[in-house]
Amino acid sequence: MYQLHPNDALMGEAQSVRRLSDKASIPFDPDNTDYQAYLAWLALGNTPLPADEVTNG
Amino acid sequence: MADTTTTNLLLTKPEVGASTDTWGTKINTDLDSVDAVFAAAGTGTSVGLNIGSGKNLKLVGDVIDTNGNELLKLTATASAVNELTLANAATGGAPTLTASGGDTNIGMKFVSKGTGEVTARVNGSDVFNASSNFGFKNRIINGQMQIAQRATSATITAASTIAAGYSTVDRFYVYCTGANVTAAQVAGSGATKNRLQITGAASVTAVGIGQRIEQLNSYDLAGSTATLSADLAISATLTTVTWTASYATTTADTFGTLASPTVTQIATGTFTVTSTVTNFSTNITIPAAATTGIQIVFTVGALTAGLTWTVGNVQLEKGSTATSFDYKPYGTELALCQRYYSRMNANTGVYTAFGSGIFSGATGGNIFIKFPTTMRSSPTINQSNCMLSDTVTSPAITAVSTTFAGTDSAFQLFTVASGGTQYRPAVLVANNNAAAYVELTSEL
Repeated sequence: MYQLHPNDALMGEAQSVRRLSDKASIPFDPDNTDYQAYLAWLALGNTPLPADEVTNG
Repeated sequence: MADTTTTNLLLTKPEVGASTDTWGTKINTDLDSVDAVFAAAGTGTSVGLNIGSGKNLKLVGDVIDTNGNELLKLTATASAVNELTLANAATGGAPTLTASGGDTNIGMKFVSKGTGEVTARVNGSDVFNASSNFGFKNRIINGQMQIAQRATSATITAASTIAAGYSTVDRFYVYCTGANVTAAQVAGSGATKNRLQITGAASVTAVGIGQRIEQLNSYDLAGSTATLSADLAISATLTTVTWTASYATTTADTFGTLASPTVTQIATGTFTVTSTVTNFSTNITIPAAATTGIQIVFTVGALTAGLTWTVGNVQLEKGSTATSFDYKPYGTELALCQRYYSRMNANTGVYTAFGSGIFSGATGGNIFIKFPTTMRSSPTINQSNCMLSDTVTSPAITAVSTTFAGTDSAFQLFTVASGGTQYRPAVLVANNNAAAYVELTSEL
């Protein structure tokens, strides 16, 4: 299960997603195998939880 | 009949019944020719021997020294076509010993006896020792199982993912089916400090230990012969360890999952293993297509309760010979591992700092984190027991939020419950906890 990250007040649109099993942040890098697993999870028709409200700014 | 000549030295044989008044001169000339073959290099019985161009010296016996002791032995090989060529050199040049002969490609072997070393000496000092100086020949990282950043022991959950299998010694993933097993870094023996040991349990049906070798570290192996070697031991009742080499089928460094691998098998085989740790090796013919990264996996069957499987000194090297294990400096091996996983630990510093940045609001701060080494990809980032501190307030981190990362550094948003002041400096530090860490994951 994953949750979208909020956009960042300083840096703009989020480029990562949270893996809820360990709360790790996974960057949107095609070479990152955790991101590949996220894409495969999406391909199965799953949907991540929405992002929390912006936590900064 | 005219004079004739001998076959080899072309000495004149005066015609019988002729050569009146000339045969003596001819015989003397012949004697001088014979004498010239043995150009004197000393006195007494010491002589020189000149073997002319195109001529051969056939040695069946040995060459001995001035004391009569063996100096050089020659061994004849039936139908030999390859040999050594020795060349001297003029001033400033270096004499050479060259492999030569009928084959297009000819190697050279320097073979010591027993535990004797093969060394080279330059300027009075040994600068090369074949047993210890062939560095970085091993394409397996952490083959000696000495680096264990995550933990020295972990439970491997049956039928879990490869990502979850990266749990003890670096770069090796462990998986199992049927029931959970325990993977642990254990003490080795002799020159080997550590090994990886799997302890079985009831209902376990299979266990695997694998490493995925990045394309950048295996590309040159394509189209060549490689040698896989490893120290292996397994408890009685199990005797077979299966090895399998594969390469990523289509996309570089993309090997798929345990359930859906995207690899093409190169070769597989078995080692018959006992309870005594023994080094096994096998040649692997790497196909030309294997330019996308290579995976090596060892598997065993039902490692049931009370059984252990030990693996160490895993090595994959170019060539058809299993050579001595490639021991690297600890820091070097650690840096190689950190390209795939890096854990920055607090260790004894309960307020160890891992990065610095700025509070972007009451509930978060953006922190610049410099990675210990360039990572394979933008890493997955996590933390444990850390806080953001401006030295006035130090709220504990509640979540790792949005990541902006490259392969050398990241600008990471961490979330805290409250207490931050926008635009104040923020330092990512251990929260009064020696077990705190920040981890970066970029495994294959």
